[in-house]
Amino acid sequence: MSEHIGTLDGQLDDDPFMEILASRQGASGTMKKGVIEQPPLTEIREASFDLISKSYIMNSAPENGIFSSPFNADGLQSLTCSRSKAVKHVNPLTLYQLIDSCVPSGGFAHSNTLEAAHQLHLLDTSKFSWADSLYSHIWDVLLNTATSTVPFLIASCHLFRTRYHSSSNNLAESSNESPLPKDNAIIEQWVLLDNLLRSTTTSHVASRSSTTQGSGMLRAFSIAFPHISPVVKALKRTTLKVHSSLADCTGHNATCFGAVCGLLGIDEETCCSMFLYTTARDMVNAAVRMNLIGPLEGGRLTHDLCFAVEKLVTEELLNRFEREETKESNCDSETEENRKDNGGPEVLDVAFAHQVCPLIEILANAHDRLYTRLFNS
Amino acid sequence: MISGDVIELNIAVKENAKLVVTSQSTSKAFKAVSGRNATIVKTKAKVCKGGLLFLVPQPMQCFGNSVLTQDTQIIMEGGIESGKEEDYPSLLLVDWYTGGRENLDGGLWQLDTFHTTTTVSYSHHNLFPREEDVDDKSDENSTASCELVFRDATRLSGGKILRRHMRDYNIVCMVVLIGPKVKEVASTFMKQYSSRHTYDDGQDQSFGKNPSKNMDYNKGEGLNRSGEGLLVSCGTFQTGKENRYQEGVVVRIAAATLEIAGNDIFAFKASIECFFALFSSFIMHASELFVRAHWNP
Repeated sequence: MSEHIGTLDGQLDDDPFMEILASRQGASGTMKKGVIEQPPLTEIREASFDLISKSYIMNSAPENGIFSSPFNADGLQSLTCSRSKAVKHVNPLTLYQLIDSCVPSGGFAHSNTLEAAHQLHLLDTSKFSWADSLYSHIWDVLLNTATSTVPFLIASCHLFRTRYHSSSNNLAESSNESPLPKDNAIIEQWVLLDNLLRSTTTSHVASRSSTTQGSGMLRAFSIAFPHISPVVKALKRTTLKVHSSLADCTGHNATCFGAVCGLLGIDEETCCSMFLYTTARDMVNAAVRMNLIGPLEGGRLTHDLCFAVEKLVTEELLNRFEREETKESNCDSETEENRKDNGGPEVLDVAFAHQVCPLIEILANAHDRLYTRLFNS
Repeated sequence: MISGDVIELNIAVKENAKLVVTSQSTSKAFKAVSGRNATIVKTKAKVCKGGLLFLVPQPMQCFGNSVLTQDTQIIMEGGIESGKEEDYPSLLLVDWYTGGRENLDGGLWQLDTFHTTTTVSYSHHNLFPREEDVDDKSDENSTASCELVFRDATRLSGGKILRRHMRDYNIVCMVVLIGPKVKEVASTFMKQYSSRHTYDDGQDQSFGKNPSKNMDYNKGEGLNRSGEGLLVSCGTFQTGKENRYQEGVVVRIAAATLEIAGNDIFAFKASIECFFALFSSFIMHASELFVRAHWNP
């Protein structure tokens, strides 16, 4: 019991079992007069971007300096100049609905490798507290998500935000339930994107979890937001066939969420933050339900992760979207044919999707080997 | 290999041919020299109708501060149209790398940059007129109408954070199996490493006094049990729309450094051997099956 109480460090001041804890841990020398000596949070919980620091260096292009930092002055310049671009204001209430934990997309059935990591003894609790080892594992997963699936999310969001809205007036005028042919072209591109994500997601467990959440999300949002319902339903139709292998695509979490955000006119930065937030939140919730940490400490963990996610989005990811946008604005002046030759911005982006944490991929598949499991993935 | 080295390997396995490609020992990428280009290893392979490619090189070793890019492209060509299973091309691919040397270079996983990309695509007609699926733009002609079915890209940035993430593991390995000729090996892997073991011979069924503390009721090899130092998982992936009922199998393994011989520059040798001891049974099994089934004239 004292072990479990020990994880609720927020409650320790008025904890009835304090004495038991003090005597237990005092004997092993880790306790000083009733105060638990926790590992220093700032040192361990400082978000490190080392795992992705060399991710975007182009080794095979000799003209790019191999050792130069990927975050060079050009990137920052494009960041500042394109941030001034006016992005259509989206009511925060819309955002709250998108990341509401009540959305029946089924995210709570997934621990996102956390359960496997716990059962396979990969969370190191001999040196760190549960919260700290969870923090570092969840952060690894978030970094991995940021490099592997976020490019697809951004591409999908960008696709619908820019191309669909250019034709949305037509859609409103016609008030047709089925999307216009022009939208079909967008949907075809989305299908392509989704198929690419499918072949990049090589873990069947991750793929299963992603497609279940994706189709759940499409269903939930097609009903929740009636004004985008025709297109969302059209996306759902492409994913939902009798058997998943007969469908044109499978509808992954990232591409579906990106599409919905794009349809609602949400900018890429917000979309990306929301996606990473829900990933972190679901994992923390899984940890709480697995009784690894208490709910109060879970809140603290989510708070710390949110800080790190904000830093990740603004400092590491945002300038990459902006660069894409800059490239795209250059492309706009070119003919459609030229653009095809260069590949669309979404293609350029997703072509560099990659993993940065090898163990996460192994753990994802290992979930199916667990004898008892609470979660689906 | 040192900075600026570029190794390109083009392999074509023609109709009903079988090929084994391996290497003599581990490939070693040494410390990068500032101002020089990265070390690049490119392998392109084409497997035609009924062919079998067994691409099993020794692991890649990334020493401290090495900058290495590895790109493996496999194109499975033809054989799907006939609808006969024996015409499908087959592939067994092993891609593995180690974290370098424990006693030199400041420890394991101190590489600078390691990019590895493995793609498997099926060549079809008129499926995707645009070649967006294939990330390597340098070979547009041969990949123009390919349907990408598998893409594994890993980009490691070495240092203490990577080392922390890798825990005690020194070797990461991926095995990809596609096609009828490796079906038996694939199903062996699947049987052993893809689902839980329901009961373990009726022995040791008590979970200890406190089940929440004792997670070792996960039975089977490769579940990172104490002293084992091995993590194995196995799963399937779809091999495309045309042959939609076919599945490929991907096995992922992380193996620990069990012992490090600290006496000479081959400090990594022990761990490699340990890993081989664990892994060789599968490879041997696979090789045996392969030879028995296909090597008879």
